[in-house]
Amino acid sequence: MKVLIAEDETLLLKLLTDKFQKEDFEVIACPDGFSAIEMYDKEFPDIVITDLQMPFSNGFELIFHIRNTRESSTPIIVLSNTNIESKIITSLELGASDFIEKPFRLNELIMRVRRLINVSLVRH
Amino acid sequence: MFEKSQLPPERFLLDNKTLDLIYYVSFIVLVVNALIISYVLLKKLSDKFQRIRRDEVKENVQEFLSDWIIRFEGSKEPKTLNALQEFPICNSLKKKIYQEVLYEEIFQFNQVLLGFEKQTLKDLYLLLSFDRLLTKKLKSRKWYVLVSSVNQLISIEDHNTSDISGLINHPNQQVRLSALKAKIAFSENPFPFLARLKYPLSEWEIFEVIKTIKLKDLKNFDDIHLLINHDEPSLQVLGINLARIFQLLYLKIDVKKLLDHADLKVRRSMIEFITECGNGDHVVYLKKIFEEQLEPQQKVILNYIQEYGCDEDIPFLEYVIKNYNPALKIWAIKVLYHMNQNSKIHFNYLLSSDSKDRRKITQHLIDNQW
Amino acid sequence: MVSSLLHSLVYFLQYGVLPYCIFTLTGYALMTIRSVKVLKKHKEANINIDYKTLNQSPFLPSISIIAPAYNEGVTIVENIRSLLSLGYNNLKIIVVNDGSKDDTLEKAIKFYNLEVAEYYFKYRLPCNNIRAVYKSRNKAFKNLIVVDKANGGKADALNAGLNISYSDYFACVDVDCLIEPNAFENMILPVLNNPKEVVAVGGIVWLNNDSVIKHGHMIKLQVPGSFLPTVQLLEYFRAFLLGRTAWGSINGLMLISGAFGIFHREYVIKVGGYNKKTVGEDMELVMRLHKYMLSNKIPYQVAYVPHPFCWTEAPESLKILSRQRNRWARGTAECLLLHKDMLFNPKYGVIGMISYPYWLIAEWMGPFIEGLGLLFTLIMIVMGMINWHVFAIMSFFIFSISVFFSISAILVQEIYIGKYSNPKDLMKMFLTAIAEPFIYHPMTVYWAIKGNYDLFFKKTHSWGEMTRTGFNKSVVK
Repeated sequence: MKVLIAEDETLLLKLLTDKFQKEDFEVIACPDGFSAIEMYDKEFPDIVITDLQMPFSNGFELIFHIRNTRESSTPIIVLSNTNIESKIITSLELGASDFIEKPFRLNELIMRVRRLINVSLVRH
Repeated sequence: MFEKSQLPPERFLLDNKTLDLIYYVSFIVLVVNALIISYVLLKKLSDKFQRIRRDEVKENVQEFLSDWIIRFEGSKEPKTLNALQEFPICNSLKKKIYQEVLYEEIFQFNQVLLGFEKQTLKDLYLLLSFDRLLTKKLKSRKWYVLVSSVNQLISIEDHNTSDISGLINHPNQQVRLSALKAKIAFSENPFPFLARLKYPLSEWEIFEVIKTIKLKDLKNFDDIHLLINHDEPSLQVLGINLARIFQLLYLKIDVKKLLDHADLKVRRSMIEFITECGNGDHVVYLKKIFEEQLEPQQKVILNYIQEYGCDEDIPFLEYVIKNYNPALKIWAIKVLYHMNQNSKIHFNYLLSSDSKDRRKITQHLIDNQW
Repeated sequence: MVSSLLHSLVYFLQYGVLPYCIFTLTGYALMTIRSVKVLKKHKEANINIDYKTLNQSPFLPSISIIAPAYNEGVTIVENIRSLLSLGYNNLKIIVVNDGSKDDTLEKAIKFYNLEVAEYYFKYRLPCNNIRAVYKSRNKAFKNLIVVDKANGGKADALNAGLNISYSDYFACVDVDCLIEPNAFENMILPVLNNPKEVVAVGGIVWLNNDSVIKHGHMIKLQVPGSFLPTVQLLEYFRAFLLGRTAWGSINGLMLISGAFGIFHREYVIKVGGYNKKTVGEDMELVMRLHKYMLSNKIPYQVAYVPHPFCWTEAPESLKILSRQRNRWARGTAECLLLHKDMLFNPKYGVIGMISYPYWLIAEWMGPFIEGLGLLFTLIMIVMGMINWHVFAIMSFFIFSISVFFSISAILVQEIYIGKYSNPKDLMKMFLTAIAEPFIYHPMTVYWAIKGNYDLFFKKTHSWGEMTRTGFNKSVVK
């Protein structure tokens, strides 16, 4: 299982990477939105976890890229510290599969990732 | 030291003495310039090395924090200093720079995590006795240090480190607000000390206080009387708004007295309170004070009439439709449509009214389907 | 005959140049002291800004960014994208295509999936015909509005944008400017913290020549490589950090740079929007706002945020720079002339009694006095009448003092802003500061005089073509 994590806080990115590796995922860690788009095209991950506010290119553009430019149904989880309704709705409308607000629980994130992967496996 | 000036004195204002003075001044300024240049360059150079060092430390510390959380995941093992010694960073932690960076990173991290991970971080914070560091910072004389350390106190949920009651009446507004938030977050019954505040609350502060109280699972609202019957209007506004938000219908509030209150903001929040939480007793009174309200309150009153009004209120609505601005006209016509059977007949009558304006608005309402 | 002419020149030197020198030097010194105080306070206040709480607050005013674009086909997509990535919660982006002759509009339509939208607006301010209003079909770009209108210049495009906007505040932004992600949260703080009506907030504009920019974001800020942009950066340091900071703190700001500033929309419409007839439309608007608020006795503030949030490319060739300075000189003269009734009028408080006179003497008259002084010295040298001893001491004095102000600007920058990380960058700035009085300053004097000559004798009112190098050049580097 490959998971792509786009997150600009290095500390959180490190923790997520460690955690997912412990859970036997292959992790592609991207510190900004632009490298996330680049890495997505190169690596074809099974699931994407992204922040919304990131340098160079924000989470919305990543979702837009995956859903519209690549027309892929890779599950996307948005992990953001915003609780502004319009931003949450925009990200879901663009095609994000799930939204988790920071602060969050690590185990909850893992559970949701597993569920989404199962769903997308069943669909194919 | 200069040659004698060739110019006769009447042709030039500057005599030799002044010229000497100017020369010396310029020279001093030049030396000052050189000093500034060397100071800035040296500072910059040392900054650069420090930053490189700090980045290095930061990377190590981040690695350690991530390992720390993963290490204790799912285990009920106590977090002791012995456990800390398993990590290679342990020896470096005695150094000041490591402590500083770790302190910062813990709070940075604390903001994005919840539950078990957050508790693990807090245990580390207590283990390294960072709470003492925080207590020291809470005694600082700089207001911005106070604000940041009180915020840190809130984020780590450290109830017993330090008493911040003194900061609630601090002359700086930002310090006051964060101390207030901390105090509310840590207390079971925030109303008594809210009633003892010495400064009036601004609109922004009221908003923040309500937000903090909403996050708490308060059970006991008995002391809210202290706020509602306070002498300070802004505290009364806070009390009334809280009563409205938590739907405290059992409160015995002297409605009439508060509706006639001298302060406009108190009257406004009271109208919002009775329209949301009251019964139909106040229609007559609200109609009477309709004139002096601002538009948002007028809309609230119209909504109240829609809920509790009767046939007698139709002329009043007509009056509003005739005399007020378009937004209120639309609102009043909407009330006519929804209130009861007779008002709806009236609404239909408006459709064939001779006033083109009113016909237009009514049609607009029907087109927009409500 | 010749000797009487010389006599009058000597008198001019004594009674004209000397008081002027004392006046400007005292002015600079006072401003520096004031600025340091304000900057210190500002830095302390901004340590604990919580952007998340700020963005969720119901008190946050809405802002629309109005960005006029004329023949920007090369960079328009990238520039809009950079504006869209700003963090402010309550933001609309209005790009006004000012009748471009190239494919600016087509590119924007294609990339952002735009379609003509039903959009209700009134021509509250006069502007050329608005042909269509475009909005995106894509939800991700729902904050974007593109306006297509007939060409009419920058002021006209801004007025068109004002007609379209419904926000509390609007920001005028040059479309090729680079804006920091948290710029507007910071710019709106004076509005939230001030009990008075804040009609405008000015910000610092700095230069990003030769900095590394990737996808509309600053990667690494550097001092420009060549002399001309560096010396301009030094000018910006002095003007924005020492000058305007001080003016802003006493509510005496006369100019908010047209490249970056936010204004209260309703008041700007009330005073009649941007003036199309002057090239200094940014300064003219601020002066008109001051006039309106003071005449109507509404307590108000023209605030200033002393931190750089906006980056722009400085002209690198002498020709374009001279055109820009020529325009600035004309703009200043026109604005001062238009509002001459404010001079020494106690009704206009700080503006009438302090700001306006200072601008008149230091900014407008300055170049003439300096120019005449230089001319006088040249004549004296040619005629062999100069007293070299006095000349040397006076030059030494002027040199060390002017370098002192430049260097203190760099020092203040380093302490309170600290944007440049490399010691080499600062070394470059210092060398430039030393070279400036000899090489660059006489040129600015010449350009300013030429600008005034063009305005009063040749009646030039046009903007002059601005060729832009744009982001893409920096991206390549």
